[in-house]
Amino acid sequence: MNPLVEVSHLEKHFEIRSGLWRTVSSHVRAVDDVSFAIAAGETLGLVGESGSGKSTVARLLLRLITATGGSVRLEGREVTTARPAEMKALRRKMGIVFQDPAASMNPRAKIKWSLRRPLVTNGFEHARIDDQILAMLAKVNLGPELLNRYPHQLSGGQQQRISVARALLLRPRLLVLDEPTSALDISVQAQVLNILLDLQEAFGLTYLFISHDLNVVRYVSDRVAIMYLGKLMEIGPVEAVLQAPRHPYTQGLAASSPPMSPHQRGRQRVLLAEQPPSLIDLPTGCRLHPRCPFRQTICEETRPELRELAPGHWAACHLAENLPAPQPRDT
Amino acid sequence: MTSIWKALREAGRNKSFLVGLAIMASLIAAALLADWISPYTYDEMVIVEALRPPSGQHWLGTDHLGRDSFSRLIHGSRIALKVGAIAVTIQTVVGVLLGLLAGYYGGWQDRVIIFLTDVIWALPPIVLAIAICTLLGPSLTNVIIAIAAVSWAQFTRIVRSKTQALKNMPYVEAARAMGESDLSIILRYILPNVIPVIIVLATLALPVAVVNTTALGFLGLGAQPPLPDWGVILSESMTYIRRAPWISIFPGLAIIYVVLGFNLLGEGLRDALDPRLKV
Ligand SMILES: Nc1ncnc2c1ncn2[C@@H]1O[C@H](COP(=O)(O)OP(=O)(O)OP(=O)(O)O)[C@@H](O)[C@H]1O
Ligand SMILES: [Mg+2]
Repeated sequence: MNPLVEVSHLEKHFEIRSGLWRTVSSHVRAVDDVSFAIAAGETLGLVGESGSGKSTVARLLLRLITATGGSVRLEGREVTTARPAEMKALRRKMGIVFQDPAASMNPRAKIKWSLRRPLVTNGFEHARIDDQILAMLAKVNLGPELLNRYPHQLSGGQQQRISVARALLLRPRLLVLDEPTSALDISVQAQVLNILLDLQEAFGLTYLFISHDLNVVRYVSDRVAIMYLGKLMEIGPVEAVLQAPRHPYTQGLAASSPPMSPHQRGRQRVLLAEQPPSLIDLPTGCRLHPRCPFRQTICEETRPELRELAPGHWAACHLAENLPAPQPRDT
Repeated sequence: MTSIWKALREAGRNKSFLVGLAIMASLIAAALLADWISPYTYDEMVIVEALRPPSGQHWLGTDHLGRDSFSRLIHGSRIALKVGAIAVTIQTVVGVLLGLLAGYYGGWQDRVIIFLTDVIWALPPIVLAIAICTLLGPSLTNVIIAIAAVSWAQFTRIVRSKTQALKNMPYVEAARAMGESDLSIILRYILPNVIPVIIVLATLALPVAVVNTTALGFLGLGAQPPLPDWGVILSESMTYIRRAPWISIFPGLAIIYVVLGFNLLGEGLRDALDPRLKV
């Protein structure tokens, strides 16, 4: 089957300018040679520590920022170089929901205005716009009484559901969710997650789901990709990657995430030393090596490529075959 | 936009704002009703009545040509407010447009615009205004040009930094993601959120423009006699300052009145619209 989204060798290097003439003094390699694909109807989780480049990948997919290199294809059409008219058509096929629901809508405009804009700007028939908005509100379990309010008069959960409704009004095929629940209360998180799962089924949506929370990722994703310092470390079916990680970094993440059940407490932990290094001055070879408990000389010298270790399960570690087997993660 | 109204209602509880508002209202009334308020025209000369101190007939006395000082002062408010308002409008429009452009697009546009604001900021504004008026010749139109030319940069600076912050807000990115054009984003998503700041800046810029207008008039580079520009009145009265101090005292007080009123108004607005903004 053809994937809906194909990302290959994607790169984003932010320029850091300094000095009197604002010359480029260094580069932040926020995303470096990242490739993956998302099949139609599937959810790919994207996980990594803060600063690993997850949001940058999201913004590159929607071309909210320009890629330094590589390509993004949606239904086979190139996004990174599309001309304005084609880009406008491509934008209708992609939506995004951000982490901070309070900052996701124009604070000086009523909800009604925020929901009308995407339809108006894409030339929808005026007579049908309000019906479409009401129908979509119902899909996120909200009533029409919110339409005349301002964003700050809504709760976080309501704000986030409005953001989801707005993103779906143009009936996109891909929805990028950049930590959509991490700013919400635990009780509201579950509610929003379940609405997202219902909507995915109702509209046949494809999700890129970014999160810090491995338990949430496991709940919503089919596959998961692990990012570290701008690179993909591991990618594969969510159960395989999170229960039997093949990359020391994933093992470390899994060990530091709060266990879902008390049975896990005694299990072996891979602890990652120190803080991640700077993106400006990256380690040679494997980016993880200064923090990796298993490092060998090869890790300092050669950059590991993603290798398929089991069907559909890839990891970028020289030692993947020789790591001590991690204890399976209980459910 | 209701949040602006809400902020204004909030400002209504602020005493200095209310005093400023009253002063502004009195100035606007004086300017609009000048012909009706003043007992004489501003250029009616009665030489035998020259240099009379304040009296029932001439409330603020007369000048060296026997003109009624009160009538001239009231008509002067018209010049001060008109020149000030036009200059502030021009500098606001120019400054805000450049600030939006620099802040939104960044890159070379930003660097060129910031370079220009640096150049403006490096020179003392009144010296630059004097140079421009000397170059263009003395007239009120040139005063407006000179004042706008030396004062747009502060609008650009502040609007630019506001725009830079706003353009990375998720709601702006969301707007781009759903196909809004750059123009639509700037006008519909960014500008409305910068307007409170612009209102405050413009209110605070008006007294500066009035002071500069009178300064240029005083130096003979702006309004020309017999126009009752406060600066012109001041410069004409200098010769008689010992014999007839009332001629110069009242325009001086009028300038203070304008500066005080608009500063109170601007600070009241600032506290109500955006307490974090300390210009
Ligand atoms: N406009 C920018 N200019 C310079 N550096 C940037 C810019 N945007 C992001 N970065 C840097 O790129 C790196 C990746 O940022 P990104 O926001 O993608 O991380 P993230 O994985 O989403 O982190 P978080 O979990 O905190 O959201 C960070 O080091 C960040 O500082
Ligand atoms: Mg992020």
